[in-house]
Parts: sequence; structure tokens; C-alpha cells
Amino acid sequence: MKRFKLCYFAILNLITWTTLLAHGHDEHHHFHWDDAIIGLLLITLIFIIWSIYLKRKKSK
Amino acid sequence: MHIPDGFLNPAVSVSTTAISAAILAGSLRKVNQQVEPQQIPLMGVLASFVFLIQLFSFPVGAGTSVHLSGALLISIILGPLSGFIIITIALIAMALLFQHGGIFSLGANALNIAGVGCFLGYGTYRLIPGDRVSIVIAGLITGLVSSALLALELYASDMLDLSAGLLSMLSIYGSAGLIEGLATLMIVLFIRKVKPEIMGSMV
Repeated sequence: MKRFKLCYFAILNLITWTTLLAHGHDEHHHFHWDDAIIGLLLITLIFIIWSIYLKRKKSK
Repeated sequence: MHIPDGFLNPAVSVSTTAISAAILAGSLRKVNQQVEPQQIPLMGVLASFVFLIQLFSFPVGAGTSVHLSGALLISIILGPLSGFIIITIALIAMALLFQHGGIFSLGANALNIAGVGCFLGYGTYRLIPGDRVSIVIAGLITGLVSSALLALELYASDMLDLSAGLLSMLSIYGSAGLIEGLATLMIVLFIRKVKPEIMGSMV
């Protein structure tokens, strides 16, 4: 699991940095860190809420 | 591949949204019945992964760009229903924050990327014999069918000359699909090696 997590974060880092370097100054492909972080937080929030909902539903 | 707002006419926009909403509702009901709450964080991790890889666009000229969709990968790892939900959530986040695809064309984008990628891609992967070859062929077919569907939606909205646009779209997205198939194959082989128990763990 530890190795899997490490590889996952390595891939995420690689994609994020490559995107930033490749398209950071391209007018048509803006990459905004704040938007990316908010996006990831939004996705995390959606799945946390879903997980809580499912846990409550299954415990009934 | 992500259609911005203003490209689809209301009829196409409403009909694709209705189809995608129906698939999403059905997928959510089935996943809620069969998936344990402990498995939801894995879906969140994969949604984040898809969100990032879809932002990584390669310009291919003519004002358009291609990117990996991750739909085939997610449906092979978890299952097509979970895959559809994950890709749709990532598409919603991208439409709201990056204008990467429009809000009114969200249904069409979900149908083209998540619907075709997860259901047709997964079906092709399961039907074709030969594990590795089937993943690559599934990627190629997914790319071709997604682009054909995209072209038809744009044609129905009077935004594309089908005879001129279809061939160029098929060639661009077919190549992207082939690359997607190869990338999916590499990641699937890697996950089978390091974390085989998550493969096919959902619906």
C-alpha cells in the first residue's frame, strides 16, 4: 500500500508539474494552481459526503 | 473533446443531458447498493487523478487539443458504473472551475467521454480475447466512437460540416485513443503488480 501511494503521488506530481511547465505561459491552456487545488478539494468533499451518506444508509 | 458552452443547440444539449442524467442516476443507485463506504475514498482518489490527467491537453492544431480521458482505465480498475460516476464528477469540477467544457454541454461531454469510455470501452475490453491487445483496441475504439459522437452532436447543432470534419476528427481522436489504450495498458499492468486486489473491486 505504501509503495502504491508513493507511486500515485509521484504520478500526480509528474502530471501537475509537466502541465505547469508545458502550458503555464500558453494563452489557450492556462493552468491555475488555485483552481486545481480547489478542484481537488471539491472532488474530495463530494466523495467525503457520499461516504458519510453511504455509511449512515448502510448502518440503518 | 470537451465541448464549450454555445456550441450545441438546445435540443442536442437537453437530450444528451437527459441521457447522461439517466445513466448517472442508474449508476448511483447500483453503486450505492453494492459498494461499501470504505471503498468510496478510492473512487475519490481516482476522480482526482482523472481531473488532473484531463487538464493535461496536447494542442493538435485547428484550435483544438486532445487529452487522455482515463475513462477506460477507471472502468477496468473499478467497473463501468463507478467509472461513469467518477468521470462525470471530474467533468463537473472542470466545467465549474476551468471552463474546460461548458455547463450546458456537460451532458454531451459526459456521454462522449464517460459514457463511451466506460461502457463501450469496458465492453470491448471484456469481449475481445487477449488481455493486453483488448485494452489497446478498446482505447482505439473508444477514441473513434467518442469523436464520431462528438461530430454528430456538432453536426446536429449546425456547427460542423460532417463530410469535412468527421475524417479529421476520427484521425485525431483515433490516434489519441490508441495512445490512451497504450497508457491504460501500462497503468493496468502496474496496478496488477502492486495492488491486484483493487482490480474489478466495484461495479
